[in-house]
Amino acid sequence: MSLLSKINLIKKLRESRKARDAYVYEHVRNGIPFQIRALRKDRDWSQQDLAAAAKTSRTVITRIEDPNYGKLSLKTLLAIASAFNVALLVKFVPFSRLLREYEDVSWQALGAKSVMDSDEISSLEAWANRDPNLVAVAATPNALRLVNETPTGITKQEPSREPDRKPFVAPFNSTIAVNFKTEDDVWQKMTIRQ
Amino acid sequence: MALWKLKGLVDRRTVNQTVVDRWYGSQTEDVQLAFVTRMKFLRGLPQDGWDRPYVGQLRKKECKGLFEIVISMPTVEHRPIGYFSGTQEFTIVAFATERDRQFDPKTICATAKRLIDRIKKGQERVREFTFED
Repeated sequence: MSLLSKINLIKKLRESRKARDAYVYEHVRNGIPFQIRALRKDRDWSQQDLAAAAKTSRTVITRIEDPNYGKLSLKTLLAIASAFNVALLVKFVPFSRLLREYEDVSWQALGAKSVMDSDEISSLEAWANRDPNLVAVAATPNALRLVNETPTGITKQEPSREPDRKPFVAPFNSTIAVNFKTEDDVWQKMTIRQ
Repeated sequence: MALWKLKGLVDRRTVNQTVVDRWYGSQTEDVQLAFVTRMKFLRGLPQDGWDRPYVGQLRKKECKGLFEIVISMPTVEHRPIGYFSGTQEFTIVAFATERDRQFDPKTICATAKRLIDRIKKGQERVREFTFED
């Protein structure tokens, strides 16, 4: 039995401002402390190590890892981001994005690669070198035609015989479903999240 | 990705409702969301992450073997009480509030231990509870 199914959650969020406020508050007050602890454990750091790297005290780290504390300053968060060598994103977003962001809150999902990490460096270099017109995908022999965008943010495409069409530019943080033909002449579907 | 199975003691007065369902249903919306969100983050944690300040082992002699989930709300400190009932499995058997380091009800540890004992003897049932699925 589900205490709160996704459908009921959406209904709650749609109908009640209080529920929306509580949902945001709970995800901020849990999300940041849990992520800081996940990042710290991932690096095998003690609270003292993080305190030293962030130029703060261990007491401050203990407090910010406690979701019941609930008072976080941007200044402290920036210092923590700097200590971990990761970026900090503080941004107002629609609820649809917040729900997706917090769908998976495992430690693995909460991890963030340091800017010194080789995978992160490759990713940054790939971003710098990419063709700005090819944000998402245009990798199939025959061009793909955008059909429609579903409410879930999944963009469906189907094959087209328009070889000279312009590449489709997908919105940031979207998922694209692509139909493509294999060498055996079989249509297959692939989803790409960017 | 859920790493844990979360369970609740089935309330004997009902067919299949757990103490978690009953407690959840009696709470205000903000407490409900606080509980669900905390459990959502906890179920993604590896075993060694289940410690303070999220989950605490109760130290008093009469509470030995019990764990509390620490959920602070502006005016009330909620304490779901349970135990590790298997590999990556936590079972909540009772709910209390805390004030000045005292549980309300004061006899919650004795009650919880008696219920756990009955679960282990097969005299009480437990059932998994889920959310955001």
